[in-house]
Amino acid sequence: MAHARVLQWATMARTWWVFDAYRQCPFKSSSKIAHYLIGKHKPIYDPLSDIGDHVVVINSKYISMPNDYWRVYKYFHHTGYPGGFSETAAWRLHEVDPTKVIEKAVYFYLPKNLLRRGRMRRLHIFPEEQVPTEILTNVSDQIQQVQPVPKRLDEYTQEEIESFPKLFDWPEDFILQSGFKKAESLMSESKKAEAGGKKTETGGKKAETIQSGGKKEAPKTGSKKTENPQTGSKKTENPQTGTKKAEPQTGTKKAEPQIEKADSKKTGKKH
Amino acid sequence: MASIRCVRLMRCMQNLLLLPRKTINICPVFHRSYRRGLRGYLKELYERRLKAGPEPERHPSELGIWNHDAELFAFGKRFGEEFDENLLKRAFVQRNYITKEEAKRKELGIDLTTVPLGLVDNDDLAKKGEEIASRYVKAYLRYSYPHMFEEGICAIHDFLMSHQTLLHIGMNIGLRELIMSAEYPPNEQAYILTLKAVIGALAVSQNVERAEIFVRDIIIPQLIGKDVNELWEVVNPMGLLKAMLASEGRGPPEPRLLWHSASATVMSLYHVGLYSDKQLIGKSPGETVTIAEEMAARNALKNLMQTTDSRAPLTLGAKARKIKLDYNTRNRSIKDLLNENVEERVYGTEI
Repeated sequence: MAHARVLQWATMARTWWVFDAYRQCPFKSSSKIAHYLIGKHKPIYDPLSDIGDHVVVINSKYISMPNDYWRVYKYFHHTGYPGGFSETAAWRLHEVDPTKVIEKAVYFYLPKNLLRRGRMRRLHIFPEEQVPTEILTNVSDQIQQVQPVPKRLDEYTQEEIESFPKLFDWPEDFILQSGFKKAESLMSESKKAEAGGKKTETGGKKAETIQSGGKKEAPKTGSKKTENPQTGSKKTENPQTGTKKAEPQTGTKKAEPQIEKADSKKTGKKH
Repeated sequence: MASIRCVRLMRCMQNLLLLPRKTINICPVFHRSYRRGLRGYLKELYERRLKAGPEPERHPSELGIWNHDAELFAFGKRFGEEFDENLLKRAFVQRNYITKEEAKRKELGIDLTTVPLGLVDNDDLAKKGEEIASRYVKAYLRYSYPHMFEEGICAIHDFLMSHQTLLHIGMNIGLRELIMSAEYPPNEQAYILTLKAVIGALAVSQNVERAEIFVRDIIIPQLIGKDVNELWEVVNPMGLLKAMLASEGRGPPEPRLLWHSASATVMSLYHVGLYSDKQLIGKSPGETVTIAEEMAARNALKNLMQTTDSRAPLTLGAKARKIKLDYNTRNRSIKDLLNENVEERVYGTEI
């Protein structure tokens, strides 16, 4: 009966999966992880049988929340006493414990029954790629990620950036003022030589917008002079009182590749 | 009128006395008064029954109506067979029954030489029936599993002709009341002998082919749901596999770990595959690598012998009428295999 025994053993064995949460939406990921924890991918699936697999989640620190959920998404708690209500923003919770967001999301997605806690015990979350050996040796397969990992601008090589198709070149004396840093960096790199003491004017109606357009403001028409980058490294706020949004520019889309190029020179983290 | 507790007691009595329900009337019947003594009466009956013990099993003939000849005739007809009346009767007579009858007559002072008993026991018929059954089962198995080793065929045959299997069949085809034995119910050996004797009686009454059809319909189906590979115990599957591959001129089996999971836990699982000349010849899961490797060797043997789990079902029923069995040719045995390649004897010693 050894044959039947090993077949049953193989049928009932729990497989260990690894899921890389790097730049993954925690909610989409969780529904997928819960699928494996419940055992829905198995032909012997039954809602009342405890046949789920183990899932090891790595890089939980680097999850990507959709939209502005880091700020908007709230976790609520009530101690039960008067005035005991509290709410925590997702960014704050993530700061305290980088495994909590995904753990709570998976817990939410699991069916609300007596098997829930046991299934959660089979979820192993690690903030980084480092996983204890005794856990990693169990792993035999990986779960596909829920969304493609975006490539940051600083991850592109200079060659790739330069070979990116451009529709036009900015004129030599054109200054991008999409925030002071940009202008500064542009100045510091390309116009270093001739910028000394020269007052530059913003391009008025040619002002650009960038992807995160909302925050950026179009410069006012020719009224403001940028500071000399050589003298003033720190930027001051635009003293202009008016904070009107930029008028939609027709050349916005065309300008984007060029702006990315300008961005790359900063090589700074956005977040 | 009986109270509810009394009714319960009466139900107990019915079960214990093996009486039909009508015997004790528990329906509320009108009485002139409360039957205050009924409960005590029933209780007394109940306790007496417990003290006396259960009713001994008795042959229906002791209870009244029993026509042995009619029952024998019906027995044959239930199988759709034409039996010779005397032969079928003889098939049920046990040796101990004759001894008992002779002793009984001697006691009564009847001389057995002048008034013979006229009974013959079923030993001869049983011997004949066993021969037919055994011969047919082996031929049928060789036909069904042509690539299996003769040792395996013998093991399956032994299972089918074993005490346990034949007893199971004998106890479920209505032999119990028909067997003429010294004791009732008859002992286990009586069932087996009688079953074999019925086969023998059928062969003599009609012909051997008819008896073989009986064997195919009654004995062979016991294999349904059984794993024939488990019936034959191979001690060293890897050694046998090596010898088989060598005889076919193929490379030796090479185990490889195909997949594993939960290695660091008590629930570890390994899948091992066996390759010969870079061809997968068998694979199996297992709790450890060693077990998985051994089971993979068994799986490879199954593949080579064409007795996998996904094999076609046995040819039975109407389809089996067309098959032509070869009674003389035997399957290849392990000894033949080892003689073929003497250099592989090393493995042969372990098999």
